[in-house]
Amino acid sequence: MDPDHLGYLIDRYLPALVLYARQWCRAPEDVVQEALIKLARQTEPPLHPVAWLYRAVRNRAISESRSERRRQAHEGRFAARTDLWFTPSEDPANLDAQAATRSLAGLSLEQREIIVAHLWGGLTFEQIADLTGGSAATCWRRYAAGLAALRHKMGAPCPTGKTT
Amino acid sequence: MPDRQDDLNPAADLAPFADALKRLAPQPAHLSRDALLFEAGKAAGGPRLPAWVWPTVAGAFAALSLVLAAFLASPDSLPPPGQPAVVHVVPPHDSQPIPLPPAPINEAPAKPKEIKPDDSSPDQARMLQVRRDVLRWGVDMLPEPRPAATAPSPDVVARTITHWLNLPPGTFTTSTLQPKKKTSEDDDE
Repeated sequence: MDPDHLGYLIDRYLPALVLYARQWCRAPEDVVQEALIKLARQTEPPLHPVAWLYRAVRNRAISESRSERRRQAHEGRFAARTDLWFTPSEDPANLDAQAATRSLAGLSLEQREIIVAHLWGGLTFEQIADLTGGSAATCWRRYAAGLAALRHKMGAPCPTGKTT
Repeated sequence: MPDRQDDLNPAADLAPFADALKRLAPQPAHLSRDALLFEAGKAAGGPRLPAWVWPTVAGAFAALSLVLAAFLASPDSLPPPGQPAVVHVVPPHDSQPIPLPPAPINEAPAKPKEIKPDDSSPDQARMLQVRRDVLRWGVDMLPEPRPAATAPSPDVVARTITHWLNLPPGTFTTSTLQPKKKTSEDDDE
């Protein structure tokens, strides 16, 4: 792969990929690093490198989470006790990073994965459907339901001024 | 791949919240960009084979070399094709030394041994006396043949003829002396 293209992918998608891998495992940086190195070793670069990266990160993160579970016999929702996922913003108009982290971690894994991949990874619903093994319509329904639940948890105002 | 999210956007009231959520920046990764690029470049230029392949191949060839060296060092190894095989024969300990062929003797032929009448047995002396008489006086000097007391048995005759003609034993054996296969009646007895 072209080093310039790889550098662009790192600059543009590294935080989003780490956020995506954080949904499963405790060491997301290692997972993303392995995925990027694996991408660099490809003799034929994939047609959609971003989608390829998300797939590699997902597979590796799931495998890593299984290993962590075997090691620690840890039950419960891993995402609920993680550190802050977002950088706190100085702008008071933006959402609270801590509340967003807590609310996002409270969603189901299916909804959370789709929201993260679509909002911060920029993947289309077709790409997410290929990634998760469902249909684009199912992904969209889960995305909308998850987003509505998230807004409800964070107490964000509806466009009509009411809190759903 | 075309993004059909606009076609699948039935909830327009969620769009402002999604935009606000999207403005949240994920935490930066604790990864060095340069180190990551270096590792990626090193991996891209590294060998494609797994690390265990070459040690395994080297070990296999080392084991093969040891086996071939053992074959080469063994005393009963076969000679290479095209060369005569050298066979070492160890004589047994209790065998007699192999006699050498007699060397040519340049001596005069041995004289016929003289028969001395005084050192022979009485029968031989009598035989010599008969021969001397026959040569002097003729065949009338032969003694009268003694009548045979008993005729030799057919077995003795057959054995004698077999010995004279140098035939394999049993050629003239009478049927009565030939071995018989045991029959069931014999077994019953």
